[in-house]
Amino acid sequence: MAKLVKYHGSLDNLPDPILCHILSFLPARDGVRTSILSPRWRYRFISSISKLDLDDIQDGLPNSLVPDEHIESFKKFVDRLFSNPKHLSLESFRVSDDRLTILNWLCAALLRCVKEIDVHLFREEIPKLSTVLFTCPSLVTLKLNILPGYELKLPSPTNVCLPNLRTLHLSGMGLVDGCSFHGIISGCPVLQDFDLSNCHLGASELNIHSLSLRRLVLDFEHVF
Amino acid sequence: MASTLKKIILKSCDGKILEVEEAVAVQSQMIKNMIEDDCANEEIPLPDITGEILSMIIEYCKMHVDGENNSNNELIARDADFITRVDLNTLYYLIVAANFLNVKSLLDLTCQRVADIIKGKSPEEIRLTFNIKNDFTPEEEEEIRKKNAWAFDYKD
Repeated sequence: MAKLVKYHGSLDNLPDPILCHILSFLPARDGVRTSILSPRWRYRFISSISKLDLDDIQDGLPNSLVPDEHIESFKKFVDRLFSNPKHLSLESFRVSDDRLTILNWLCAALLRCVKEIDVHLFREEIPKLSTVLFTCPSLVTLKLNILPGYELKLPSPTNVCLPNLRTLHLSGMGLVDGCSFHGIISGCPVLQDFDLSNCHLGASELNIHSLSLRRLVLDFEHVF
Repeated sequence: MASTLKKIILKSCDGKILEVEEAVAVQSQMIKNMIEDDCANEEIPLPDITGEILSMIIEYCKMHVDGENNSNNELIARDADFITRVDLNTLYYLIVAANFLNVKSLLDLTCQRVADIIKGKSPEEIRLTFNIKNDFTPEEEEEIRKKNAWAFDYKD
């Protein structure tokens, strides 16, 4: 019994690895707030973060209500996070604010073997990334939403190799000429959930063959 | 069949003896390793775990073994019911014990519970809830707040 008393009443008495495990369940916003609890907590969250949900910055607000200075301090936070080569093993990466330039962050996340990517893309530079994105072996979930007015051209089928991808949601995409969604799916041998919304098929046929697929959603309501 | 009925005997730090079916006991990776190494034929002393905490852990493991055929949603609902009945102090002991016994799903459940309690609270509220002593000077605290303005509400 005596040994147990030392844990009594304070989270501070838990060993570091457990504290880090607890913090890994927190969204970035709540996690960062723990850094001012006490000096021991100062860098704990940064070393345990596993999900980077950039929408955390909004705290439930629409994008337009997040003040610019918060966007700036948030950018610096993510830059600091990615500049630390150690510790950061990302599970997931989500973002939807158009004031954030995410190309470098997305690249950094892919290099850190991220498992889930869920992003709203706004910028023309994104197509540069498509080869890295569509050949990332760690990816399990990939959700790309292109807003109207921008177009992500998907790479040719030979460049798609996503051996662990189970969920693929594409919205608002265009296709490179001569490329087909069939080619993309054939690069995803364990794909279970494919959701294609408002994508421009161009001249290509929609031809889907997959033995692993369990859920298929096709929505062209706003294309034609 | 015989192996599933085998009992493992666990002894808590306050002397409580608990007989547990092997299928339930091996939810603990530590005990599973001991069984594989043939070290679990006599009672296993657990010097840092009280009888009360040990009983709760066994209840949890049993729930998972019995619920193997249940749907995922049912298991999640049972987990939620189990963990919300636990007060903060018991939660600490459960975390330490789940870590020692290496019951991964219980460690995740208990740590997730602490994270859920932290979520949405101001730093001051978190300190109060978990008895955390603040050793920062007001100046140091202000500097960290400024650096991460996006994470702190104006009302903090």
